[in-house]
Parts: sequence; structure tokens; C-alpha cells
Amino acid sequence: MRLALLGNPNTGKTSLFNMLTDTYAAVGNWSGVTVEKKSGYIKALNAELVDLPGIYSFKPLSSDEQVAVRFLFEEPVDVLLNIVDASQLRRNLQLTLMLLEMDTPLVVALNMIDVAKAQGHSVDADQLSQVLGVPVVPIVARRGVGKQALLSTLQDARLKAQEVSVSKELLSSAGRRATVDYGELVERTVAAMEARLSSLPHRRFLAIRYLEDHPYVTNWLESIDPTLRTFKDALAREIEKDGMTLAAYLTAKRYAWIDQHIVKDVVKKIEHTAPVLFSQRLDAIVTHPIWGIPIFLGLMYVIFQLTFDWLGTPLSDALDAFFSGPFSTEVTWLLESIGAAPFYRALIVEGIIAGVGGVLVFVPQIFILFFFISLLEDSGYMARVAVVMDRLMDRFGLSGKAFIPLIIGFGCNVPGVMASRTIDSPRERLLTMLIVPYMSCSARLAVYALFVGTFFKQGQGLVILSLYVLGIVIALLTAKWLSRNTLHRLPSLFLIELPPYRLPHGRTLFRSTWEKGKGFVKKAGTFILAGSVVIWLLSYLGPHGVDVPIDESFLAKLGNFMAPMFAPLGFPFWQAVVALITGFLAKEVVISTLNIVFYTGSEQMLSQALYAHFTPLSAYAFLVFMALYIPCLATVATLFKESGSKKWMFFSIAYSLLVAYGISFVIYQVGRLIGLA
Amino acid sequence: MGLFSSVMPYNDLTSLEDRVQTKYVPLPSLKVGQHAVVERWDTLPHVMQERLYTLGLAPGETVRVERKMFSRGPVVIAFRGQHFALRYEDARHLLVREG
Repeated sequence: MRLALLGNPNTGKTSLFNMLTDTYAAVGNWSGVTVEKKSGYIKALNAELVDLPGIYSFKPLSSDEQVAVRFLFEEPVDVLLNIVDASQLRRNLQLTLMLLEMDTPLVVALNMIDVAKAQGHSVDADQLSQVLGVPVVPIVARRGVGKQALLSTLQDARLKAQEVSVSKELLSSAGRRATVDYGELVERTVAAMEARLSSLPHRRFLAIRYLEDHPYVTNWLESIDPTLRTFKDALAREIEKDGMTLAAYLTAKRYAWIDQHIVKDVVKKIEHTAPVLFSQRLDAIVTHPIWGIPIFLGLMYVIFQLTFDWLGTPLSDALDAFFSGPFSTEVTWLLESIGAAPFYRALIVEGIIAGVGGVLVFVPQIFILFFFISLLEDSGYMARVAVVMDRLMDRFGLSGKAFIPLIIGFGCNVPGVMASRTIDSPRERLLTMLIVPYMSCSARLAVYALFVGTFFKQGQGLVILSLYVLGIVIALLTAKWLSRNTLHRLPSLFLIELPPYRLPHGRTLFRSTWEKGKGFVKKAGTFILAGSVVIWLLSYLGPHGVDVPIDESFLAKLGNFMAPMFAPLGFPFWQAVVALITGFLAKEVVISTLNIVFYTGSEQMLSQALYAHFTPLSAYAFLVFMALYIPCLATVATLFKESGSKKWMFFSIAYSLLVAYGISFVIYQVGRLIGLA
Repeated sequence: MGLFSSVMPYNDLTSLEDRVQTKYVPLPSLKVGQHAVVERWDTLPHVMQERLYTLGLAPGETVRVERKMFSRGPVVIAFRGQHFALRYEDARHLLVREG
């Protein structure tokens, strides 16, 4: 059996999905968190539950809604599960009434009765069930209340559906389902259309979506029967005499039906003690026209300090000490005791543990950061940030929602690119993904610190800041340029719902954090592992055999071959080039590579070696190049996965190399001209 | 009050044009906290009209300006217990009557 979960955004749909399935999909308290369709398994029913993105209606405006609509039309579904927010009953029932026009059995899960009560409305589930003619089960998705009742109702709905398909007489009993009377004119047209579509299922649903100009349905039905257009045109002319478009008229009729049947009978006004002023009071502060931005930046500062300094760094350092210390020693000892060949010992210790361990040390930081991001999403603050930042971002062709991925990018570009999922306009989503790599990630900061400490005695902070600012400027200019030229035709719709603030639920929060972070761990185990092996092999092997001195290895040959290209940038020696090549694996690898190729063991020795090769000017040019060139392997792979496009992945690589080379070139040459060398 | 009860018929358009100039103001010109009735939105992009219709906002509906971000940033409006942010460029197509 297959169930599909449908409902408006911000109705607790994904919480309900989690409650029913025991498998996980990301939950967020703002529109667009479920960008792809996700499916889980319900053991009790032996059924698959598909979690579709939240939709307000069937008109697809964002990529989210397209997923939901196409799924419904193209995939067979046995039972529809419609989640309805009791505190926004009137608006939610628009979708319910449309779903009722389909032939598929429907079960309504009535969520957020508690919220409705706090607002002074009591919703009678039994009465609602009577009026709609389908089962209605009250639930509290966040706390898992109503799970058993919902499961057994779904089971019944399936059984009934099977009976109906066996015996035709029972079909009439399904006619108890509520039907909106759209008025004589419309109903006559719908009946005529249904007669022509007799071979199709969901005829009434399709006919009405056709009248609403649904693009998918229009193409489909007109390919079956082109004469349908005359029905619609004739009807539209009649309706528009009264000053309304046909689609608006149908919506109005549904609202009239809801007002007549539901608002009167189902919803009762009750005494309520605590009006929901809390959200409004908090909003008055955090979305303040002037203070909103500083408050957000302050919050981000605290999160960053916690992630990268107060909490994350000690944990990362501890992991690092473990990998490079006891773990390496133990493994070496173990390998020696089982008599492994020196080649394998070196491969495992110097290649795999150093390479994969170097990335795994960032796991604590990644998880801490994702925990806070999930917290902000679940609480509903993310939607506010998008509103607060929109004006600023709009000037560069981005939406306010792009700000979060960019901020995350300062920590690590990989989650930054992934966070751009939350942007529902495909144009802005792609644009954001492409510029995230220009945010200087924490790995790059380590390299900055090393070089700046060596070459600049004064104004170290300022030099580092200049690299950050350079990245931001490049990102914004790139966004502006791309939105002007290649991407401007894709439309964008800005309408953000600000849901009431909700206290995030612990279990959901941890699952959400884990789900986001596990990809990072997985990556370390797959292609970072493979990449480490390759790079280590290149440094281990040379034209004259194995275990060669590093300056006779293939890696050195490769560096020497490419070195002349970097002469105009001021660092034409193979060590720097090799460091940049290996830096593609992960930017922090630049430091470890420099350590190996200069035969240095401590930071002080490395500083001396750098001092012998670089001037302050060429060191700065090197940093600029390092800051802007190819995003690291993990980011490139994520970019490919998230954009689903090789073209944009290669564009990102080529463009960033070009920009890095160009700017580094200008800085070095201009610096020489004005005598800084 | 039914949702679309005070929709103006389109054939009144000529007489309305004058009133639009004198009596109706664009939504963002309201002060924060002020209530107003949406009267016209003919120049609002069609997609946005349709989406707002679905959400329950249409001419005739009362809205409240919750917040205006600075320098023509998004405008947050409240209607029927829900809060939505619109861009300034969209919001100014909503012509409202104070009250």
C-alpha cells in the first residue's frame, strides 16, 4: 500500500511523517524544508508513506509544489492523508476540498488543536468528519498524540477502498463525501467535460483543475480532447461578466462553502486565557526594521563562537590529538605486529588516517553548527531572517533566504551549499549554491593564520579580514552578474509565511541534526578516503620506484610541470603548486602538504621554510589564490548533487580558477609596480 | 463577512479610476499597526493574486500592517490570524482604504 501525505506548509506535516514512520526526513518550521519527496515505511500497515512538500493549492509556483503535483498525477496512491492545521482551518480546507474531488480515499489528520484552543477556537473533529464525509482524526504531531487512532483509520480506509473496487454498488456510498456546488453554470460545464473524459479517473478533479488553468492538467487534457477549450472559454466569458476570473471564482465558491458549513458548525468560540501575543512580542524585537539585522548578526556571532571556538574547537582538537597521536601509534603497532608490508603501513597511517582523520576532526563543529541551524529552523526564526535580510540581498539578485546558506558557508561550504535547499525559487537556489564557495570556510582560516603569522607582524587581523571581505565582494558581484545574464529568466515569487514561534521538540531536533550531519561523515568515508589514497600514492611513487624522496615523486614532477604558470603570481616553485593541488581535497590539507614538502616538523620550522620561499607580497597573492580557487572536493561533489547539473559544477570550478588567477595576478603585479616586493 | 463580498465589479472601472487616485492608498503607505481594507489589486502580478486568493486574501478583506522593513524592504501583513511577508514592489500594488 502506498500513502501520500499532503498539506499546507507549516502544518506539522513532517512531524507527522516522523511520528508515523520511525524513519526520518528533515523538519523545519518554515516553507520549503521538504524540497524533495521523501518516503518512509510504516510497519504496522506494511505501507509506504510519501511525504510531499507543503502546498497551498495545486497551482505549482515553486519547485516544491511541482514535486507534489507531479507525484499525485503520475504515481498510484491508495490513500491520501491530508494534514490540516486546526488553527488555520479555513485556509487549510481549500486544499482538502480539492482533494475531495479526487476518487482516492482521503483521511484528514487534524493537527494543532492545542494552538487553535489557545487562540480561542475549539474545533469539533467529529462534526468536521460529518461535514466532509471522510474520517477526521485529531492528533498532536509534535508529541506523537493520536498515532494509534490514525493508523487504524488508515487501515480502515484502505479496506474500504478495496471493497469499493470490487463492488460497484458501494461506490454510491462514497458519494457521501462533501461536494462543493460551484453554481449552475460551472456544474453544467464540469458535467459536460466529465462526459468527454469518461476513460479517466478523478474526472471531477481534473475538470476543475482544468478550469483553473493548471498547466500540467491543461496540457494533458487538451492532448486527449482539444475541444475542451471551447467549454472553458465559454464559461470564462460568462463568469468574467461578473468581474472575476474563473480561477478566483472557483476559489471564492470554496471559501463560501467553508464559511457556510465549517465556520458555523465545526468551530466554536471558547474562552481563552493566553492570547498568542508571545509570537508578536518576539517579532516586534527580532524583526525590528532597524534592530533586526544587528540582533541576527549577534545571534550568528554567538552560534559561530560556540561552533568554532567555545565548544567545537576543543572537541576538534581532542579528536585531532587522538587521530594523530594514540590512534596512529596503535594502528602502526598493530600493523607491525601482524607483519604488514611497509607499503601498506605507510598507506594506512600516512595516507588514510592522516587524510580521512583530517576531515573527521571537523565532525564536532559540523554537528554543533547543524544543531543550531535546526533549532533556528524548527523554532520559526529562519523565516524571520529571510524577511529581515531580503532588502539587502535583493540588490544582488538574491532573496533573503540566501543569507543563511552564506553564513553557514563561513563555517564549512558543504553544509552551506546543502542549506540552499531551503530556497524554493530554483533560480535563487542555484545562484546561492554557486556563490557559497566564496565564503572563507574555517579550513581556509587555518591557512590564513599560518601565512599571516609568518609574514605580517602588524595588522594581522586586518589582512585576514581583507581576505574574508574579498570573498564576500566576489560572491556578491558574481551573483549580480549571473542574475543579470544567465539566470534572469527564471521567475521568483516572494511570499513568506511567518508561522507562530514554536518550542522545538528535543527528539525531532536531534534527528534533524543527525540527518543533516551524517552526509558529511559518509563523505569522509567514501571519496575523501579515495582521494587521500591517490594523493598519498603520488607522493610515495616516483619515476624511479617506490618510497622515493618527496622531491623525486610524481607529485613533485606534477608541481614542477605546472609551476611556470604561477610565475606571474609570484610563487613559481613546486611546493606551493603541490600544496594548492592537494588543497583541492580539503583546504586545510594545504598546511599538511607544506609540512611534508618542506620536511618540517613544527610550525616554527615551517614558518622559516616559507620565509625562504615567499615574500610578503607573494604570500598574500598565494592566500588570495587559495581563498578563491576551486572549492574543495567535498564542496564540488555537493554542488553537483544539489544542483543536479554537471554544467554548473564545471562552471563553478572554471570560473573560480579564473577569478582566483586574475585577482591574484593583479595583486602581485600591481604590488610589484608600486614597489611592495 | 464572506470573503469576496465587497468585490467591485470590473465594469465599474471607469468610475473607480478617479476614486483610486483620491481615496485608495498603496498598502506600504500605511503606518505599522494600521488596519485597512484591500480594495483593488489589478496591477499585482497574476501569480501573486492567485496565491493570495488561495490564502484567503482578496479585495474586500481587512489586513493589518504588522511591520515594514527599512528602505522599502518586505512588508509583513496579518489577515485572518496569519502573517505573511510580501516584497515592497508587490505590496504597493495592493490599494487599500483605511479603516
